[in-house]
Amino acid sequence: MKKKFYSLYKIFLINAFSNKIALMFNIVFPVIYFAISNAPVFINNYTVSKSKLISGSAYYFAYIALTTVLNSVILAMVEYRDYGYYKVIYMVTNSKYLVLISQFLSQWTFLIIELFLFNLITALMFKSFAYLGYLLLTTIIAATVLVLPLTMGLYFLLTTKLKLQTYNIVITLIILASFMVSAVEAKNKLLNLLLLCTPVKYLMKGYEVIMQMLFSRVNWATLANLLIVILIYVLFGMIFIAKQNISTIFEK
Amino acid sequence: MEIKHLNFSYKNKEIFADFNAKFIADQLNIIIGSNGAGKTTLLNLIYGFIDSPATAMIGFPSMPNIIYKFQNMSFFDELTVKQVINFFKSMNDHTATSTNAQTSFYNEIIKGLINTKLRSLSGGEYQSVMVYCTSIMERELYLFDEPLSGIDSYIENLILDLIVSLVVEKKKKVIMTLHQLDKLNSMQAHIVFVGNKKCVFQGTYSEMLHIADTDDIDIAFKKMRSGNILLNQE
Repeated sequence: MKKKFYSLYKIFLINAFSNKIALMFNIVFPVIYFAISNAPVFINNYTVSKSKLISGSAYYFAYIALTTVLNSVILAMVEYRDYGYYKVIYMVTNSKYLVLISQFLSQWTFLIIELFLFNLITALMFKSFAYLGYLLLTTIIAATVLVLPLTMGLYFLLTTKLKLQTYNIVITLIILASFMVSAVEAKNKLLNLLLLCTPVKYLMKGYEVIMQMLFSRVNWATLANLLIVILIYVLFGMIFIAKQNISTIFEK
Repeated sequence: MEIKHLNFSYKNKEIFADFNAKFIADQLNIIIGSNGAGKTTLLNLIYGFIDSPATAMIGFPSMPNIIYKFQNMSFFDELTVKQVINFFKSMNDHTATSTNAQTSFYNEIIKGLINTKLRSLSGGEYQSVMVYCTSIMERELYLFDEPLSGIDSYIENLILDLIVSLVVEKKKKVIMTLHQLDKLNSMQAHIVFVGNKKCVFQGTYSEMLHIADTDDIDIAFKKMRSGNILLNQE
């Protein structure tokens, strides 16, 4: 089983790194935006505090994580399905869970490398290499704890019978809508919980909670809400993963 | 392995009506028939890509024990031939031994392509690599859908040797579809002719010629295809 898993993981990883356009979209664009928006800090040698540095990077973490999940996991799975790669993979492995786990872990590796690069650039920009360790620790924990449930929650996209071209539009709309909603704050508790279910808000709040847990006091109410959203994503994912079988892949 | 009284429709189109056929375990089974007769659908039903009535499919291994080389089989284009072969090999539970034909095929065809990416292969080379990869999997039943399409005549013979070696040397069950009728003469095979939603003939090459009352396989095919001869040797 270990041998099978490693072979699959390697294949998915090779494929992930071969997609240069996705890499550009996921990491190069946020780095450029980050560099432009923080140019005064860089030029005037301002000192930035640890908390400001980490909270400032939450927004970028959310962007990198969400675009990686959508472009490199969900869209990649749609492509594998439509190009017939999944038929071959399922046939030789005989296990959809082995495929899902190895693909997720290869993309997680890809995401960690992207985040490492981004953190390195952030530290360089703010001339704060002393905080690089904190940034890395926060992002690695956040990527591990938050991204798997989010990926599972977005698996529903695989069960829709859309064309590959339509998926690109849907994914762009999800990214845009998520960022628009991320700035909205509601006083109603239930509405707040619903807003937290949107990907960007979920990732940003989750990142902040992890940062608080590591370096300061935890807001228990936010943590409880976050756990509820994680549970919703996981349950959603389990339902849609159960629906996937060789016949549904064959039909595509 | 046997199909009994199979009635099957796909997207409101009737494909098989009371279809009956037997497949022989220790012989190469070759399905022939016109385009659109249902040869690929039959393989899809045997593999389980399409759900079929359980009572109609008798004695076939379950899905995990079957490997199926379908038409236009494709894999990650960024991988080299070596990476793809290693991937297929790693999915076997035990290290598989190679037949003489597999070794010859590797030395003559695959070795020269080993560091080439799949996206750089020609159609025929791609097909050869996929047939080879399918053959190195350790399974009970092998299904090949048109393994000779897009292949030159020299490699055609190497592929057929490779497939026959699975039956003769490895004692595996093999079912394949074929359009190249001229190849049937040189093989000890059990032929299943699919036409008019039924199995219109099953038997050997010489029996097929005898029933059609001709020495020409193309004429025999034409007669059976048009329904001039309707024999279901149940």
